[in-house]
Amino acid sequence: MVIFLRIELIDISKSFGDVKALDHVNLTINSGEILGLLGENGAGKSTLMNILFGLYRMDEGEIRIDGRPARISSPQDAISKGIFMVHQQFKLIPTYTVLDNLFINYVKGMDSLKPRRVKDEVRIVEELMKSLGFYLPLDEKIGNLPLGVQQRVEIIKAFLRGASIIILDEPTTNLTPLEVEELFKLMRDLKKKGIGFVFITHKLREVMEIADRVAVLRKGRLVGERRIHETNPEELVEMMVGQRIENLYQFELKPSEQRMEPVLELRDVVYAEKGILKLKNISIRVYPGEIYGIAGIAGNGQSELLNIITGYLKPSSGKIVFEGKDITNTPILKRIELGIRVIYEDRVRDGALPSLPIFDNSILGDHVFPPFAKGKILNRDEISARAERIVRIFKVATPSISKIAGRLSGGNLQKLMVGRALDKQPRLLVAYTPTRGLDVATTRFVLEKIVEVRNNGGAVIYIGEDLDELISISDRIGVMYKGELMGELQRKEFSKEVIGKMMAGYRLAEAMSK
Amino acid sequence: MASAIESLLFYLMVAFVPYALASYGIMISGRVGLFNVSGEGVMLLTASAAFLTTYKTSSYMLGFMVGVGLGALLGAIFTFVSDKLKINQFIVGLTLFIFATGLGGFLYKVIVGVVLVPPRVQVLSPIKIPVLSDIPIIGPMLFSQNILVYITIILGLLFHYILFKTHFGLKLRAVGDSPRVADVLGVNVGLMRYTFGIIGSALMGLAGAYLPLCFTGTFTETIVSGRGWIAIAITLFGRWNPVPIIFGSLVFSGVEVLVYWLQAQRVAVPYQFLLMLPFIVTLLILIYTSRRLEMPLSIGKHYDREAIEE
Repeated sequence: MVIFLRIELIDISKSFGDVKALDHVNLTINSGEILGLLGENGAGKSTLMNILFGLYRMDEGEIRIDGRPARISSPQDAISKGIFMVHQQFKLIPTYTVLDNLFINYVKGMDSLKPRRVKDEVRIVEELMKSLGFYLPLDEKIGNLPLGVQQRVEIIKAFLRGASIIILDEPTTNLTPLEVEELFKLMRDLKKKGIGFVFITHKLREVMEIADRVAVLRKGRLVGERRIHETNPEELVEMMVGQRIENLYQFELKPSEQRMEPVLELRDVVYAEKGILKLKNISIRVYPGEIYGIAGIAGNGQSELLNIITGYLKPSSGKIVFEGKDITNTPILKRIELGIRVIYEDRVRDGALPSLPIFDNSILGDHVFPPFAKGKILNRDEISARAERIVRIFKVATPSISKIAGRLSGGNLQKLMVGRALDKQPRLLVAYTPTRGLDVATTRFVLEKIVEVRNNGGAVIYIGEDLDELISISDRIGVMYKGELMGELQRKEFSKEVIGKMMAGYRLAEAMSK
Repeated sequence: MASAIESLLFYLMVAFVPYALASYGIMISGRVGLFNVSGEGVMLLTASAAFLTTYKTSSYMLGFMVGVGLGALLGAIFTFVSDKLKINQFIVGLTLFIFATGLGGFLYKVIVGVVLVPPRVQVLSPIKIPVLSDIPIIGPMLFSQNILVYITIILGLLFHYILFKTHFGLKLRAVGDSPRVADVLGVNVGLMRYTFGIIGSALMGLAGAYLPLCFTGTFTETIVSGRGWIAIAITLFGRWNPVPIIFGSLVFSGVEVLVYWLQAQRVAVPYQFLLMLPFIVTLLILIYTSRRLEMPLSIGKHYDREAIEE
């Protein structure tokens, strides 16, 4: 059934403004094969595939399909040639049913004005699902479905349109480890049927597991291509990063001292929003000199937990105790004064004021306290000194501290955010995926700095989405699922399998026994 | 008494048309992501131009064509400026409202001038549907009306059918809810926006032309008297759906007819207060429904294929 395709991308170049996103890239894609497209954030992986899918226009280069030049100037062209792309953010409308999402622009021309035959549509999709071996609730609205299921809707969408090559852009980002396994199984099955995949990722392990061939991009250039059995993770990291990085996930955790009084204690914290429980009886103790990792798929209550600790949200019931004092009703600024520092989930939305210069951003939160404020007046010298210090120690690449924060690249802005939180040793640091979107070297640097806070006796709550990261730096890990703590593991008990199951909703005991 | 009710119901339908047509226009533009608030101005300009055309040529057809054509032209300008030049849709809509309002009054003054007795045209005569129009009460109301009344009702049902029963409608709604999703599935978002930006404004133009040609028979600068704004409210609490818009339009034409009736009864209330009634009703309904308002998800937003998301 599946038509064999061989796609050649020849000398593709693309710039966004002054930034060269792709520089003469060559790549071959075949159906019946899984091609891993590996690279750091901003390496040009998605840009390259968006060009193949017709969303972006290339500046230079050529696309050939089965040896003949092909013109792809819109997704319509790509789809009609058997190419489909599943973006990292799914292209589904949350308020529409699964069925409606599948059939947008499926029937064209005058036929599209005839009454829809919903029964026929359901039959077509059900047959397709049967052949793929899974089932979707067609009448359910997309917004009510977990991301793993939404991904399958995307894959069915591709099938419905007769795709031979399916591009998956970072498909494992929001999936539980269990769902990742299921996705890989599906990909292998489909490969046997002749479907080709381009698997865009920055996760080495996944490429090693699923790909037949891997191409590595770095800063818009193709660094190299390997058959998967001819390469190894070390070589791929070096190709990806451009330098050898030893022991990516090894950190020196100083043995912690005797358990003292906890720095932070949450007692039966409940938080409800518009009648929906977002946090259910959360009890956590975090001790000095400890990193308490919180694992879980995004959206399971982590943001609410962070905001409860910062004081942005008030718990519906329960208590927050900081160094022995009840701070449940203590306002945000007071908590900052006590030594609670935060690295926010979204640096642009919550962390920074993008329209202000670096120096102002470097004191946000501390701006009312001495030495940065003398009464109501800001002390410019102290502020500049702090900004200079952060820029120096945290290697923020900028010509000056007067540069507008919003003009910094994502990585540099993040370094500024981390630097601000760590400039003065915090009593408690709450960090939410502080390495998101950072390259390998910067990730390593940020994690080292966080471990330093711990080794200096600070308490850290590290909310993470990358299990490798969490396992490498945490002393304990708690797993959240639907606003509930499914259990806590000690460092010696860490197991990806167990944590993965807990992320999918199993309690600790269940996850251990299965 | 029976004839009084008959006549009130007759005028209910006559007054219903401009509300419904203008609301359809706002609704269908909104369904592809364009929030066009220029209706009040578009209606005044097209009322003026249509009146002048029919007054000078005695052709109703020509009058309506000029109204619809001017509406379409303004819709094309609206879509081009907001979608292509990426200027805020509300600013473009308000600018067009001011421009069209000024131009409408100006045209009339240039061509007619200031006169003691304003010129008139005969309002378009009703088309009686045999047999049905003889039914008491609903006969005159529904089956003895000018052609636009029939067209307006049919148009509403047609919009409902297209939007919710066909693949074309699914595609159209997708453009307004998520142009990116539509684009990725091969929909020509630009073409859809121009098509329905123009059709939407043309419907407002038809609503404007209707006022002098089918309703008042004359043109004054207050002829639209807020119907273009009220149509936005009708669309909002009709949740951008054609059938609720029909009912919402009936509510407002009902209020309008009620005002005439009260004036005719010589109620001891200054007429200025009666004229406020439609706006008070708008306010009350909007307060009541505002919490449950639904909009096309991407209405008012520009779409740029190569822009970074979020």
